[in-house]
Amino acid sequence: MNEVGNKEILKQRAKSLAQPLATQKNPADSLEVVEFLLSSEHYALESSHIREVYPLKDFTPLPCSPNFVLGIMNVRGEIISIINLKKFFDLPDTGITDLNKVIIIQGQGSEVGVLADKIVGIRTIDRQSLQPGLPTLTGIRSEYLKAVSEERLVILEASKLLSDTKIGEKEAGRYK
Amino acid sequence: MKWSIQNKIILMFAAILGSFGGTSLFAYRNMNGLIENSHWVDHSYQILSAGDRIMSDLTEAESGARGYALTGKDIFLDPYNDAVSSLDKRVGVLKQLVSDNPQQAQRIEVLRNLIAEKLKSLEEIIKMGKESGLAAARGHLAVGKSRVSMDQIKDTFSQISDEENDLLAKRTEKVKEDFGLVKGSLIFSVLFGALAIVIALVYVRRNIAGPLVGIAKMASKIAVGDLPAELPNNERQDEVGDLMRSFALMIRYIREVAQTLEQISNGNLIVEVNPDSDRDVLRVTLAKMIQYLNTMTQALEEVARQNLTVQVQPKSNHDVLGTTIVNMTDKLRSINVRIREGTSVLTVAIAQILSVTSQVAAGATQTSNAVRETSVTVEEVKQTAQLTSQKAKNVSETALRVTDISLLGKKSVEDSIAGMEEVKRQMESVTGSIMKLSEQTQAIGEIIATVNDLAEQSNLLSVNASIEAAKAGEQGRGFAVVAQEVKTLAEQSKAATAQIRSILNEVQRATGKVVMSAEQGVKVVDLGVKQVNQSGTSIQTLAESVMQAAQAASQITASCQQQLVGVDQVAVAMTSINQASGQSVVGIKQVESAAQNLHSLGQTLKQLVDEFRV
Repeated sequence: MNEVGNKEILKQRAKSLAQPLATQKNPADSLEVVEFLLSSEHYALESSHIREVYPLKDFTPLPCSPNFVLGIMNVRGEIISIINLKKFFDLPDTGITDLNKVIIIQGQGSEVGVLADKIVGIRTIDRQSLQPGLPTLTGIRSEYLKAVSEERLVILEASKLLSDTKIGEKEAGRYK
Repeated sequence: MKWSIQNKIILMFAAILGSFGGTSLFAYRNMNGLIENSHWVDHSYQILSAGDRIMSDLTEAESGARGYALTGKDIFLDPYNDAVSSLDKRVGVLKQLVSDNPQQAQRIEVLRNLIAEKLKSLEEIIKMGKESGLAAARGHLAVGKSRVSMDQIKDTFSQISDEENDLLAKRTEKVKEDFGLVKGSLIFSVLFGALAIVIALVYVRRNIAGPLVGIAKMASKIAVGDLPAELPNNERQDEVGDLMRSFALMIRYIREVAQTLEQISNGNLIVEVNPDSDRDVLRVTLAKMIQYLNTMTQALEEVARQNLTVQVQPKSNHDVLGTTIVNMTDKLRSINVRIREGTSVLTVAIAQILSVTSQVAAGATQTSNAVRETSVTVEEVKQTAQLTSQKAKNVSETALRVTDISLLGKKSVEDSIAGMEEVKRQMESVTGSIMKLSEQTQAIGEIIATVNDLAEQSNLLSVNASIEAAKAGEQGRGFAVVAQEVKTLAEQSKAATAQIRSILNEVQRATGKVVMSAEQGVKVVDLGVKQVNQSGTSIQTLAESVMQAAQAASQITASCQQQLVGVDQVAVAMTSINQASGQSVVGIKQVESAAQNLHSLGQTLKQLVDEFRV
């Protein structure tokens, strides 16, 4: 086998294995999300709904509050309530450490902190690749589901989390 | 008329009967004559006795009359009177007796007259005696007139008795003659009859009973199946002859049937059997049997031509052959089907066997190679064992030297104790230095935690920056890049702190160990000092132990020699195993070829089975 033949073969292989370049996307077609971990499961929230990410420091547990309310926290002089989605989604509780983060989401005039085990980072997802849902995500999880990406990243609907009434109703039902 | 045995026997008995009848008739007739003659003899004796009685009466009467005449007494007249009264009657009887003979009757008439005359004279005498006295009567007697008449009477009587005696003699002679005749005829008839019976017996014995016994023997032999040879030609025309000829025919018939049966038993079914009539039971049965056997043979021929569709109808439940053929064809059919299934299974199995044997052959080759390697290893082990043996020898030599050295060792121990004290001091200073180092590493750890926290915050900051950049839209794009860079930096610093932390952990662990070791070292040195002292004594015991060790080493040498021998045996065994595995490889190759043969055999079997029509 001569050298030229080898090169040719290698070129062909490279061509077949090469992934196409990510084309410059229209910002309207792409969705920017913040990916985070909940009990080693990957979830994401749209960055447009997120005000900021804050480390979980000096939070105060609220007595006589539902179990999914972790407590309240002082963020630069602003009191933010923190929701533990693991209780919501019946995920195993891994405990609270000082590595936990709070994702503060805002909308409809209210702000809520969502507890996250770890922040993975910002991620840009093609809107067309999104799928409406998974059959394994049922019950309460499907209610808060916005979409599922190709990498099986569960994108939650921030506006639903913000709607206080829903949670209140749920809690009212739970404490009846 | 045929001269048959029946006629012969009738004739014979007739002859015997005739002879007896003739003889009996003859004897009967002679007997009658005899009886008559004896009657006449009796008659003559009666006449004679009657005459004698008359004579005695007359004499009585005369003597009575004379008595009276002499005595005159009436008592003498009684016999006279009795005689006179009976005399007439007796003369009548006599006359009646001789009535058959006129000559005698005439004489009797004369006699009667003479008797009447006599009686008359006697009456005169008696009358004279009564009337004229006895003297006159005696005178009358003396005249002798009565004497004359008495003599005449006697004469007449003698004539009569002579005549009768004559007749009597004749008649006796006749009786004797007749008796002799009867006797002779009886003897003759007995002798003749006996002779005739003897002749008849001999004839029956020779001509009837003898052949019949022979035939009976032959018949009993035939009854148990023993056929005699061909009978001699018989010329006899009677029943025995007929019987013998019938027997000959019967034997020939049985022999023909037996020959036919023998041919059938030899498997010859083309033999011709022609029954004489419908009543020829044996031949008709034979013909039926041959027909039946031919039918069965045709069915079997069809089976032999591999046609198992043949249908045989058994004649009855006792038709063993038919039932057996039906069973056989059924069995063959089911066996054929099963063989067909079996051959297909066999073919598949053989194919599997073929593949397995190929694998096994490969495995056997590998085994053979492994065994070869093992034998090489065993060879190495053998060399090692030789080496060990050498070493053990060396050890035993060394042990002797060690004894000398142990003395030197004792002196060295004392030097060691001094060295130990020095070491102890050094160890203590080392421990102090290490403790300080450990404290400083703790401080480094705290600094690293701080750095890590900073990296975490930078990361969070970068995320926030990204969010802010996104909110800013197109203007924030450049800022987003910066935020990304910050994130990367934060991650790198995080990784670096993680590395430093791991290194620091190791350093801490090591220093901790060193501290522990140093402390232990100090203790060990203390112990060492004590132990060195003990060593002094130990070395002494060591020297003794070494001597024992030298002995043990020599034992080890011997053991090694045995081990060597053992390893040699193992090597030989391995060689055998090597050969065996080589043979097994060859064998498996043969098995493989055999399996291939089996495969082709299975194919052949399948073809053979498919040739059957079921």
